[in-house]
Amino acid sequence: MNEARDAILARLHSALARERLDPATQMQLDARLTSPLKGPQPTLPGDKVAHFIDKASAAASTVAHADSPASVVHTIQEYLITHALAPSLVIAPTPPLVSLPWPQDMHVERRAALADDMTALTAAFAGVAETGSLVLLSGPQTPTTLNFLPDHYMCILSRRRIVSHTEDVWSLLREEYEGLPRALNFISGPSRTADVEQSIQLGAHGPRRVLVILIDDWD
Amino acid sequence: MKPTSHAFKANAAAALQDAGLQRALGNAKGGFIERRRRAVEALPEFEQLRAAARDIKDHTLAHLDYYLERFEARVTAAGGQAHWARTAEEACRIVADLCRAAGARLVTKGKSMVGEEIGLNETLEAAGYDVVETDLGEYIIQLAHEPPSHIIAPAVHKTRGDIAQLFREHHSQYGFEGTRETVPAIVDEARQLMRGKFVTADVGITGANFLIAETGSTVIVTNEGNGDLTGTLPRVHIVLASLEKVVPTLEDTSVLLRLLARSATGQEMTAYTTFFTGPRRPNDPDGPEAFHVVLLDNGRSDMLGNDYRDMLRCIRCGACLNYCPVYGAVGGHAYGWVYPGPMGAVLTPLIVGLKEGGSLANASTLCGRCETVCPMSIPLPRLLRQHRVREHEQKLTPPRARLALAAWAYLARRPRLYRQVINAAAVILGALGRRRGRLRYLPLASAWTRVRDFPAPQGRSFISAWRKQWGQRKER
Ligand code: SF4
Repeated sequence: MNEARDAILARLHSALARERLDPATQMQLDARLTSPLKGPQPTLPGDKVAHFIDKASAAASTVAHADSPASVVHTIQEYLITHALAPSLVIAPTPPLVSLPWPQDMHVERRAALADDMTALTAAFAGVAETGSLVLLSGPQTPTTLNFLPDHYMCILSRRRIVSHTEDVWSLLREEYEGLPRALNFISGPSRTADVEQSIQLGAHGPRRVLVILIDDWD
Repeated sequence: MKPTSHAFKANAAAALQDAGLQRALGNAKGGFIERRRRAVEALPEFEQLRAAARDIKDHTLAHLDYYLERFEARVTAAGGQAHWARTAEEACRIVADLCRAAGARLVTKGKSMVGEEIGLNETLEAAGYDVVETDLGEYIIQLAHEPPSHIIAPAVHKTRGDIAQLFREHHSQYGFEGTRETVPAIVDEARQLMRGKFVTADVGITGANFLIAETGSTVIVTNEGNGDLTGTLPRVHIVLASLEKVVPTLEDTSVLLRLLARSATGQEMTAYTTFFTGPRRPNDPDGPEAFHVVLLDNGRSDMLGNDYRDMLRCIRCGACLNYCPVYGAVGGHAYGWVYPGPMGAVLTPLIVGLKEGGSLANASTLCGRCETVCPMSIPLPRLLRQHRVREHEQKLTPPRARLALAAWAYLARRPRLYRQVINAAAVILGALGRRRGRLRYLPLASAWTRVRDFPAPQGRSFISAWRKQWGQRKER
C-alpha cells in the first residue's frame, strides 16, 4: 500500500502548495514534539486531594480512605458484604497488592480478568484532581482487562500520586517511563450509557461500580 | 451506504409526519443543550481553550504531511502498523484483508463514524464475517438496519418501545425472554449478550478521536467501556481514522479533551478516555497481539487545499447537531447519509459530491447557533453559504429557483426598474391584504402560504418609506 501512501502525501503537498518540509522547519516542529507546550488549564480552587474526591464522587465513583494495609483489606471486606458479594477477588499481580494481609477466608487470584469475574482490585499509576480520574497503565503487573470486565472495580490510589491536571500525568510518564504502554486508561466513574431515551444508566459494558481507596503511602 | 441526501426535502417532510420520531426527538431535545450549558458555565477558561484548540488544529493542518509521517513512524516503533487508504473502497479492502490474514470469524466493533462513512459492515458481512457493533446505540441501529441519526447518540431516534421490540425479535435465539419494560432491563440484556461476543471475537475494530504524532497513540473517548473491551480482548486491534485526526502532542490532546466531552455530553471527562499505543508488550498478560491503524483520506486532502479547510478542525462532538433547529425538527435520517446536522450538511457534499449532497446546504436557516457552540470555532454558516454559491455556479439548483434568482438579479442591476416593480408589488399586495393585514395565498409561493400567512405590506416599499423619511430630514 506504499502507492496509496505516496499518493496521499503528494496530494497533501499539493493542497499545502509546497514540497516536503525543509530540514530546518522539520527541526522546529521536532522541537515542538520533544518539548511540548501546555495549553490553558482550569484553575483548581483549594486542595488537590479534596478536589479529586469531589470530582470522583460527582462522576459516581465511591471514595474510601485507608490508613494501613490492614484497613485496605477491611475496606474491601466491608464493600463485599455491603454489596452481597462472595469473598472472592481478582487482583493485579503487583507486589503491594499481593503482600496485603489477605485473610484465610478470602479467595484471591492474581491474574488478568475473565468474563465472569465479579470483583477486581488494581493499583493506579496516578489520579487527576481536575476530573477525578484514575490513571491506569497496562503492564505485566497491571492487566487492562481488570479495569473493564468485572462488575465491581476497586482501585488503590496513593494521595501522593494525585496530580492537578492531565498534563502532569504526561510529565510523570516522561520521567518514569520510556514511551507509552499498550493501554493508558483514564477512568472517571463506572461505565454508563444514555443510548436508551437519553436516560443515564450505570453499568453498560464495563464496571457497574467503582471504589477508589485512597491511601497515605504507596510504593 | 448509498446516500439519499438529494431527497432532503421529501425526507424532511416525511420526518415531520413521523409521530414516533417526533416523540423520540422531543425526549432528546433539552438534555444535551442543558448539560452542555452547565458544563461550559462551570469552566471560565472555556473561550481560552477554544482559541487554543483552533490554533493547535490550524497548526497541525498546515503541517499535516509532517505530523502524519511522524505518527506513522511512532506507530511502527511501538510495534504496530499504519495503512494508508485513498478511498472508502481501499480502506474496506485493507480491513477485510487484515481480517482474512487473522483467520477471523467474529469481528467486534466500537463506534466509529469513519466505519459508517466507508460502509465497513456491509463489506465485512459480504465477505462472510460475523460483525457485531458493541456500542449500545450502534448495536440498536445495526439490528434495525439503519444508519446512525446522531454522531454521538446513533439511536437517539428510537423510543424505548422500538428498542424492546428489536430485542424481542433478535434475542430469542439466544434464549433471552425478559419483559424489557425498563431502561435498566434493556441495558442489562445488551450487556449480557455482548459479554460472549467480546471474549470470542478474533478482531476488534475501533475508531479514534485523536491520533498523537508524538507517541503513535490512538485515543478513544467513551462512556460504556465497549471500545476498551473491543480493543483489548481480540487478537487483532484495528483502528480506523481519517487523516485530520492527528494532533502533535499529549499536551495538545489535553486541550482538545477538555472541550470534547463538555461539548458532546456536558461531562468534564467521559467515563473512559484511553490511549492505545502499539500491541501488547512481551510480558503483558492481556491486550492484542497485533495493532493496525488505517489512515483514510476520502476527500480530506481536497478539503485541505480548498476553502473548506476549517471543517477539518471538527472533533465530532455533535454540539452543532444539538443546537440546530432544523436537525431538532427532522432528526438525522432526513440528511440521507452518515453525517447529519450542520457538520453533516458541510461534509456530505464534500465527500459524496455536490450533486448528491448539495441540497443539504439549503437545510439551514443560517441562524448561526452552530458556529456559536462549535468548540473548534468552525464557521459552519459560511461554509454552507459557500456550498450554495457553488451549487448555483454548477447549475445544480432547481430551474425555478434559478429563474427567480435571475429575475431578481436582472431587476437589482436596474435600480429604477427595481423600485417601480417593488412599489407596484407593495401597492397591490397591500391592497389585497388590507382587510386582514395578511395574505392567505400567494401565487408562486404556495409552499410558504400553505402552512403560514404572508404579512401584507403596508402599501409602500422600504425604499420609498426611507426616501420619505430621509427626504424630510434633509429638508429640515
Ligand atoms: S462542527 Fe463543531 S460543533 Fe459540529 S461536531 Fe464538529 S466540532 Fe462539534
